[in-house]
Amino acid sequence: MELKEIILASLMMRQLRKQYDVIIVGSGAGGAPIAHTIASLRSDSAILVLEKGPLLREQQTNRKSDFSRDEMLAVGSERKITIDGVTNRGSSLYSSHIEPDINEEPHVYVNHFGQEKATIEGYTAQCIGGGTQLYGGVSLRYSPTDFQLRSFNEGRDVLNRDTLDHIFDWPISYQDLEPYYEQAEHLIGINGTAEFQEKPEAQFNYQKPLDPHPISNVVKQGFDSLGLRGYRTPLAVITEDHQPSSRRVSTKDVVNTGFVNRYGDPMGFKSNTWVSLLKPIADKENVDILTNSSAFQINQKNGVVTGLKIYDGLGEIRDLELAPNGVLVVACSAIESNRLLMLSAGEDQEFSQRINRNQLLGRYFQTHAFGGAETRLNRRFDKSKSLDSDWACDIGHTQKFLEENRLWAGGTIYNNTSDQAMPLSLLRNHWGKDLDSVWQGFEEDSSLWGKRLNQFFDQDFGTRLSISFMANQIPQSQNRIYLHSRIRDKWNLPVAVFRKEWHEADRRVMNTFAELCSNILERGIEELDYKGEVQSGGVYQGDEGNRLANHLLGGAIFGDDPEVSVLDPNCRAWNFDNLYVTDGSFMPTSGGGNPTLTIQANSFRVADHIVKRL
Amino acid sequence: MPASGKTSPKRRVSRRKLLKGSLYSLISSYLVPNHFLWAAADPTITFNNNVNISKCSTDEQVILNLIRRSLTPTALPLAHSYNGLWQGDVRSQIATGWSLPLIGKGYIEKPIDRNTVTFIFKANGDASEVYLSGSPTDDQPIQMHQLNYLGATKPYYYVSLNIPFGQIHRYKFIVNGTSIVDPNSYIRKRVNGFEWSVFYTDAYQGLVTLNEAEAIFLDSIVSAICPFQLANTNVNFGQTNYIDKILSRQEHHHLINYKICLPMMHQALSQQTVSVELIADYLKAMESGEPNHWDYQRYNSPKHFLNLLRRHSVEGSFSHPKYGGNRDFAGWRYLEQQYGFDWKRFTEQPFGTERNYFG
Ligand SMILES: Cc1cc2nc3c(=O)[nH]c(=O)nc-3n(C[C@H](O)[C@H](O)[C@H](O)COP(=O)(O)OP(=O)(O)OC[C@H]3O[C@@H](n4cnc5c(N)ncnc54)[C@H](O)[C@@H]3O)c2cc1C
Repeated sequence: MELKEIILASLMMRQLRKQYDVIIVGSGAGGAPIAHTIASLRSDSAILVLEKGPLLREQQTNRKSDFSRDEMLAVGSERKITIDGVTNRGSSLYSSHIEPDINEEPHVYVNHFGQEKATIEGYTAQCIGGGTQLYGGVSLRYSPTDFQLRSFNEGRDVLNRDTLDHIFDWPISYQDLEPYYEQAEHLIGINGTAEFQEKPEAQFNYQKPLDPHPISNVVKQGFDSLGLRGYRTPLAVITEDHQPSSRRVSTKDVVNTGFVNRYGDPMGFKSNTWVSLLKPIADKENVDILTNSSAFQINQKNGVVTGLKIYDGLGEIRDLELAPNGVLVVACSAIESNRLLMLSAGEDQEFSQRINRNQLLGRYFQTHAFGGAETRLNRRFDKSKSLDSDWACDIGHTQKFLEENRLWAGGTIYNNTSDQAMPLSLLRNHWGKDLDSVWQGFEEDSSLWGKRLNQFFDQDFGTRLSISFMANQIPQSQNRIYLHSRIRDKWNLPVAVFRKEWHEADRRVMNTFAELCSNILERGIEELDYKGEVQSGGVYQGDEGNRLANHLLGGAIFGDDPEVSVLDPNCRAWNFDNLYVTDGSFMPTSGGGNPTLTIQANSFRVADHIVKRL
Repeated sequence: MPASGKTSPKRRVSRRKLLKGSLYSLISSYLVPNHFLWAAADPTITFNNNVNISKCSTDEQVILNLIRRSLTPTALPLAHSYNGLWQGDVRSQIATGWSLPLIGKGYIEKPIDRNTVTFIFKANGDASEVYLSGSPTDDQPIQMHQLNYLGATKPYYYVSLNIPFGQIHRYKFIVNGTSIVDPNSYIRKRVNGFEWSVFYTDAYQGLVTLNEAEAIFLDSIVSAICPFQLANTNVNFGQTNYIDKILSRQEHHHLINYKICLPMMHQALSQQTVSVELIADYLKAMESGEPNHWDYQRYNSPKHFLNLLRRHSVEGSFSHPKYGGNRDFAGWRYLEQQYGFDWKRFTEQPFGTERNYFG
């Protein structure tokens, strides 16, 4: 234990090599699978994983874990937005301890009325493991149709031509990705069940799920009553010993905690990419992991990347060099990867000509069409004893459902078991606020103190249950990421701006799924003879276009045709020899489920391709 | 609705008591006095000495993480100036300066009863000798280590000490023979005419920003906002202590709100017997009316301050006791009694029952 700790610490401090064969920028879902694959297969390739944020460790690496079961770590103390020129300057800002400080590294969201706001929604997490340190771990595969939505909608009269022109089939099929889904599930460590998933001919690699939380029975009964077939939501949390990452589970009880979504896991059971993929290779001779260091410029010559410029952990500029035949992988999560490409284009005209040949870089930025339904039951449960979700259902992926409801694309439904399980999360998410407005509902509900506060706990603590859907969002060319002309970050570099608006077809998807979600809850409540009022909706109401569900997708989409894509089918930038982008940016459509497992599976696929060329 | 003038029967209201250096200690209760002296003064602090403190090795990854977060240069000189309030102060240039020195998790032995406190100093230029001195070292200077990063020495100096929970200390850096306060850390106090940097460890129960009169008064307000009560006892949930702590570091920018608004509220309420009902009436007026004695020139929204009080009070009720509130886990025990919330199950020993999780 102690020894391992020392090895890891010194590894992070040792001298860098003069050249690397592979440099991976970003250590999350898109980056880590590449490092893991190459390190496992090629002991002669020098690999550098570069990460902007810190290394935060779980107990197995360091007994004093940098994470805790502590509500103040998920949403900390208040700060004020101090950025000049945004309309929410002076507003409160809350974030987790591993999200960047948006005063120093802002993202700007432009809403429908052209107002600019600083937002935390466009970040996942800034640390080794990226978003997978904070994620809920819902690890769904996309359905076969999700890969071919253009073909699926040709000949149907659901979308008009204009809309359809911006929808592109993926250059790979579900079958192409299937072996990599299997590999990802195996190496990452996921629990769940396979039966009743609408993914034909599939092998799944799941550990056994924990017993479902009793409150989830409402959802199960709702499914049954409507004739829907549920499966246990695949979750990236190990429930048994996990051989590929040498993690052990002492008792199942300790795994079963509500401190999953928005928390780093001090116990290391949550399968973030540090514990599952990077730590197992971290002490290999040919692997360096450089934390707290950010890339800001890619250097190229004649379309061959030669290296990059970074700010190191002390804020000093360094040059990193690629060996001849080396490869650069960019996986900073979509907004930041697009930004890095744009910053590089700003410094180098040839880079710009190559990356911007079709003017598509930054376009087709997407998240998901998402929302759900919520109820308050007249029974109380201790929701702190549960993982993020128990039951999921693929009805929304079936041909029949899509035809009956005239939907252009489908999605997955799953319940949220642990949300608002803890007292502070119940209060600060009151009235269902997003990341930019935590505590706002509590403040607006200004009589919530004294006796009413007691009543609130009586009614709401341990009684709330919600169910969500995650469905495809229409890709639109004007939904895009670009550089701000004036606002700069702490390194004096232009920050990223994004625009994202819903399409009519998104509203239809959200309405249909929200109604189904509410039916499920209502039926479940009825079956169990509970009482509860159900509310539902998509996220498009109000000025909430910036809500991203932490799913940052598109901007550098891949495809067969260099005229309408930024990356080739192997996620290599067209017109570059050795520049790959493997985070969520590559997706031309957002998929009918949470994206991370697909990002990981695709990275394993790209890694196989890269290994062959090294 | 303005605060009504009716007199209500006196009620027992729990109240904080200063228990220096005690760990998650239970608190006894008092009657809120009709009125008491209002003092603008700072709280008096009695610093701990070096009993039970030991030097320990520093986790270099933690140092790097801290530097990146808080000490790397920024092109945004006023990003953390609280809208210019700290203009000219180096602290306006760094994020989360309040987290210096770092009050980290202590060495893991059972029971877990201490923090590892890591001090860090960034020197301008080269070849410095840097020492730490202060109450944790019995005013004996101890040398700080120089950072080695990617094969080269860098002008960052650090040292870590293991210090029991619930303590408060003063310290300075001695740089090339000259002693200076920690330029980046938030809390500073004058002791015998000299300025010192100050830090406290987890669950410290003494006052740092509010004086005793303010704290006593705030306690009665907080109990009206959060009327939680454990069965058969009258323990103080420690929210006021939480507020005192958060105002010294993370939300230092809100201290001014308290310093302006508490005296106005006190003026309005000290005229009569202070009861929970009367305070509730006043809070009601802050929520939706015109509270007595409110000087709108000085603070234009009583509701805004009420919201701040509300958020801070509930955070102080239910955040982990290391933040200074939820004293002796009273908040979580309350939820256990009322609603069967099984907090011990996910909480580290010796407070909870989870043996595999070290806090
Ligand atoms: C609270 C929360 C809950 C979530 N729940 C789920 C869920 O249940 N299921 C699901 O599928 N997804 C979930 N997600 C989303 C998931 O985290 C992301 O989809 C996933 O992490 C994206 O992978 P990525 O590779 O694109 O980016 P990331 O995993 O975020 O990795 C990007 C990394 O690059 C680093 N980086 C950025 N810029 C630079 C630079 N210039 N130089 C060096 N490094 C850089 C970042 O610091 C980061 O570590 C959740 C996210 C959050 C925040």
